[in-house]
Amino acid sequence: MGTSVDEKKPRLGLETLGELIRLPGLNVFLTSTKELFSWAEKSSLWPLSFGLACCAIEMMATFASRFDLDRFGVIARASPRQSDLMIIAGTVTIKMAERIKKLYNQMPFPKWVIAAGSCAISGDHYRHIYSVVPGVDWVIPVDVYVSGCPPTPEAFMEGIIRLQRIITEGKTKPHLNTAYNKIEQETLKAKPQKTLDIPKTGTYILPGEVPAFARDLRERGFDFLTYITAVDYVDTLDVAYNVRSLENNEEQTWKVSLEPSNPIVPSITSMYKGAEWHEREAYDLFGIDFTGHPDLRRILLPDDWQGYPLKKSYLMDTPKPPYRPSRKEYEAWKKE
Amino acid sequence: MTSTENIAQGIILLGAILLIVTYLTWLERKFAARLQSRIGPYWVGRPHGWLQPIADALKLLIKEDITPSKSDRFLFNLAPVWVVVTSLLGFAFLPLTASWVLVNIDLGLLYFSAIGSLIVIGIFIAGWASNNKYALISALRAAAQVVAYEVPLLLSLLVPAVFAGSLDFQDIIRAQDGHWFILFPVVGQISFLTFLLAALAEGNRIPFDLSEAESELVAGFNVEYSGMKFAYFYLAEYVHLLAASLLVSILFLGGPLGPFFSGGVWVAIKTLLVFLGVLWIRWSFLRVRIDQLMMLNWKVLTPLTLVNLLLAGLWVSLNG
Repeated sequence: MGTSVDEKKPRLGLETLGELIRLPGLNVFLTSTKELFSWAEKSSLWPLSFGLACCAIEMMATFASRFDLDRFGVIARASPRQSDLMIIAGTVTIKMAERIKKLYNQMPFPKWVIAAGSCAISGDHYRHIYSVVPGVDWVIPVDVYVSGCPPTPEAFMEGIIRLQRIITEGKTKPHLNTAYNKIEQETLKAKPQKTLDIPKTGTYILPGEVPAFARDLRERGFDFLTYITAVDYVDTLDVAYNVRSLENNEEQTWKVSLEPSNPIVPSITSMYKGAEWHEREAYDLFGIDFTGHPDLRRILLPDDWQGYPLKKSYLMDTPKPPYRPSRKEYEAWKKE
Repeated sequence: MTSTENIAQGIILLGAILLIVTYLTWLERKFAARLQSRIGPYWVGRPHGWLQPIADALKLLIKEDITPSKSDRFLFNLAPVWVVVTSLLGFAFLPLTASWVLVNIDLGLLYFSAIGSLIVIGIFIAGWASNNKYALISALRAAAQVVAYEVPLLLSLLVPAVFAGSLDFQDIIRAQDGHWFILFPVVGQISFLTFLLAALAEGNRIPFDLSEAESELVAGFNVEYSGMKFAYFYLAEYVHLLAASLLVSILFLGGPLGPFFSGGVWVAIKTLLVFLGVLWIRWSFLRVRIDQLMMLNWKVLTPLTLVNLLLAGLWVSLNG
């Protein structure tokens, strides 16, 4: 065992629950059902086995040999119907938040939530990013917060023990995320100053020449499309392409300058199959219209997302659908 | 034996089986923990978490009971009961000591295998009534798997019956006096191994737990079941496993036969050893693919058990 066990600490056995009366030839154990039930609940916490990001790796380590959460009776279940505890281990993105809420609603009562790691608690350094929920308690009520980035296995175990104590004391204290205060609002409203000193260098061609240029390269043996990406220079919106010849170990990059108000460029999916996903990504985050693309839909963000978050004109302080509940909505939901 | 005595004995047997099965889950967790150099349940009732199964059972009992609104309510509630009842029924015909068996009939082996194959109907009902895609796929897999593995299971069960010349468990035990059937050269061992494999497949255990494959099907046919209904499935799985281990110890390991102790003790020891072997297999092997599973059944186990049965019959007819 990694941690030494303190013998003086109260045991998690039956003797704390009631009193044992010894009669001749008979032992009588008295307890109340409430205490017995809360003992059963805290002694067999089955978490839903899912992880969101790097904290989940530490969580898995906590389940494995050196630390072994099974000592507390904690075993992971795959179905939310059979689990009592939800460990949010990792950054909660807005797309995932809907799934988390759905999974939480599928769990039977009584149920508990542990927010593990600074991203699950507050969003940490990702909290100002367009796609991240600033703390999982915007979505579901949290009982225990485990700090760390990521939390160590010892911290995970401490969180479990703290949750057990909460269950024994019969009160859950769901905290509200207090980070959305006035100062926070103001920092969000302040427009981020982004530097625009990236040099515009490289091979620039006209948008209309792209298919012919790409076909030429393809015929010359550049058979692998490394990436298609874009840069917002405010006055222009530049798309960068990179192709590679695996046989000759050569690479070729070219760029296209587009009008930011009307970014249209012909698609190269007919030459490079892999361009389909790259172009969808550029469309999703920059709103670039690739004419001739077979299936130009959003690929990373939810389908009903509004705006293109990697453009400089995207405002972070205005609430965007589909999912960023206001404080009022959250409070109303908690009262249900 | 009067009917009142019979019912009383049945109730005692039922309670004993439920208690044993509850602690088998504890045994499995401790055993798995040891294999993975962990400790396993420790803090819930010391020493060594002996209250863990009690806490689990109590928690499942007081958990919210969810019936999905789009499920078939009657069938959804029928499935767990069906599975537990059919898996427990098999114990009525199994001799637990040299002389004691709850229902003594001549065709014990036939009855046992007939009732054992009814469990899959409950699993299929569960998958169908849940109205969930994972549950349905899992139920279809379980049905295909169990129907297929029924063939080698029965064929390998018949070998001890052929040796003993009877389908009565008592006769089979008596025939093993002096030499257990597993010690019979080649035929006995092949029969033992094929039966063990087929029983693992019937009980949906690793390496054949395709109907509960977490990576593909979330939790399998019981994905929508919560609380006590889920516990019923869990219970049925272990009861089935215990019955299979008991059957192996009776058919191949001589059941109550052995020196020093009385019959019941030997049955318990042998059953426990077989059960631990099954656990060992579970925590050491990976899950096979569905096509590998079917290939193993139809191309290897079925021909092998057929030839094996033929050899056993030849030996008996030449020496009989």
